[in-house]
Amino acid sequence: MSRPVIRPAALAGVAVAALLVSGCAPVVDANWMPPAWPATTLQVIPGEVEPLSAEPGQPLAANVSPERIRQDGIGIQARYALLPGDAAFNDAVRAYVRTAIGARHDATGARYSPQAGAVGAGLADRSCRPGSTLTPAAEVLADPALAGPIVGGGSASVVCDVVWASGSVFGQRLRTVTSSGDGVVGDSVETLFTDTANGDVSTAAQLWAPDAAGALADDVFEGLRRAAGSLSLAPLGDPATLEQLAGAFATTMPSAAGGMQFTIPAGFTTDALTALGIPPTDAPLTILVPAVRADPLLTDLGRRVLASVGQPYSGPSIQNPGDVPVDCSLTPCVALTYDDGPSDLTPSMLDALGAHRASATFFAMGEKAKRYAATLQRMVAEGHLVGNHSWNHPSLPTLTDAQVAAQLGDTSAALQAASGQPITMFRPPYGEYTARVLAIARMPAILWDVDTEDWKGIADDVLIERAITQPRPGSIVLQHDIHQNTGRTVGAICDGLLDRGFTIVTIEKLFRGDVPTSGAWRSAR
Amino acid sequence: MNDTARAASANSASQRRTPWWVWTLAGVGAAGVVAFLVVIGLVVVPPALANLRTQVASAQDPLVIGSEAASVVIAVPDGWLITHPDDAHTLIATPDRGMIVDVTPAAGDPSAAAAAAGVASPLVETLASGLTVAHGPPVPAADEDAANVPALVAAVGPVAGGSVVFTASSDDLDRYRPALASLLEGVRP
Repeated sequence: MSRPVIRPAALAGVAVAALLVSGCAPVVDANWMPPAWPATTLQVIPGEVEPLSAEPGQPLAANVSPERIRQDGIGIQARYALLPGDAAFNDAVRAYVRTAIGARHDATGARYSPQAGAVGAGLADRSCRPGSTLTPAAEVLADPALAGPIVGGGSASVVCDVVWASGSVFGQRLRTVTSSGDGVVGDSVETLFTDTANGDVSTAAQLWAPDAAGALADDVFEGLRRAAGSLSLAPLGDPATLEQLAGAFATTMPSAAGGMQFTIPAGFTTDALTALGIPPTDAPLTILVPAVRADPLLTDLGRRVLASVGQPYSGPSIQNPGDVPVDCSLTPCVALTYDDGPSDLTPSMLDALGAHRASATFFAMGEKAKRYAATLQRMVAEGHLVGNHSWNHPSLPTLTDAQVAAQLGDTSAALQAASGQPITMFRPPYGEYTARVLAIARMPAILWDVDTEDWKGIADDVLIERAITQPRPGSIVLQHDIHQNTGRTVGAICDGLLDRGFTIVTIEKLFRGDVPTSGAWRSAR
Repeated sequence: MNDTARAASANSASQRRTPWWVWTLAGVGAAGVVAFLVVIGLVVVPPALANLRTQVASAQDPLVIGSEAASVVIAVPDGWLITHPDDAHTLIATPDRGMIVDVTPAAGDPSAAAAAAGVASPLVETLASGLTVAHGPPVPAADEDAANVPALVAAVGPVAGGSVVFTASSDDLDRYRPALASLLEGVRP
């Protein structure tokens, strides 16, 4: 009788047969890598890049001087940001704004002059409205805080976004939206970059070397077709419309993740893409050019911009009122002037002025120069202006020539010795002067066109109302930094003037740096 | 009793003494062998047989689909896996099987073929081969589980008989789109 067993050899045979059968099959190659699209050095990201913010209260706000103008004569409203101590950048920004003003001048025939708003105009809100260079043009025109007033059926709105602040590099995007009775008729964007370390300024498009568009075109168009879902490997051919790409370069900015990026607008297409059946882009697309690809295609400034990625902003900040860039031919300016001081009230008034980034002119008396030397030095250090108000406040026309000369000469010497600032103008006590006094002074006499009569002991609200409502662009406001009501109301007056759109400046800046050397002047108009 | 008779008597006694547990072990062993064979049969054999129908693509041996009267030649990239589960379908898989494409001939131009395969608004473009491709994600039917819907349908033509419809399935189609493109470009006009 045999045992009911299966021989081990048979079992092994079955196993080997199974392995052989399965081994005949193709093996799955888990290490196989799918191919990539050709020319995928660029990355296409849906949407546009969100701008930075420089709103009040945020760290970047300390580094920019927000500006806002609204002019009913030609129909324009503009917001833009300037930088302390970067004249080239500020000139470029202002030139952009002036171009928009010029276009409105051409459209309306009206001349531009700075205009202040009514009381309560709300023009103290001057920061770039974050995202306003990206929002639909119709929304810009529908926002009273952005839209220019309609004149002759049309208007212009200039809006801004801070798009870059890293290392010593700052970038601002400016956009002009123009309208007519037919709605939006123009919408253009320009981004300006500056290296605050040396004042180099360039448009965003100029960050790229001249041959960059040609070098990137194939990659960009390849990226666009893939973003559209293309499966074709057909070559795109030689794109004939490189200028379209150059236009997109105007939106160039660095990427926080490294590399440079620019935005292809909705509706973008080329003949080559159309021929392949690729529809126009239905939404903005951001093209990210990796740093290693971008670097050789950039200008020197472009490379510095690229290298600034990841660094904290090190550009200058506004420490004192004197750091605020001013152009009184563009913005409405007013000069606050204070006579008869300095006094013990003056330092707190300087505090209030500084908090409002407001510069003032102090017509100080010679007899107080030594006692208040520190206050005078502080005035100068913070960007205020010191003027001559005689030694001890006599009526100059009643004095002899020698006495007038002594009153003014001794005072100028004492004030200059105490403050370190040359004295270039005077205010005659009581506003009294003659041709003889002017001839002896050999300085311009700076008077006023707005007298708050603070010296009469008027109530604070009356003083504030007068100082806010009466000035016009170019006005000189008379007050005295020896009266309590004056000292208490500095902040409120600054608030009111800023709300009307004024820039509060020294006499020197009120005259655009060109103060007359003689004569008597009641305003800069 | 002689010696022979004693020996036979002793053997008989020995067989009678075989313990019960020996038989139990033998039974368990036999059951294990049977289970082993069943597992082999269920797990290994079916895919092994399927794999026997799979070939590895090579440039020297392009894929031909369709009837003899309307055959279409497709140059499948080297190393890809081709399976013929039935006469109507051909399955093409990337070497890692990360994307599997069902290839079938279809009547009509690419746009019509894509629409018939459930693509609502196909993107129609020109391939490097000069052929036209109409492609897009198919819209699931109302009673269809979206998870079972193929990732993308692409109809290439004109070819003999109309178009060739590629129905691609992958858990990560974006990664395999360039691979699919290379397959579509392999359709010979």
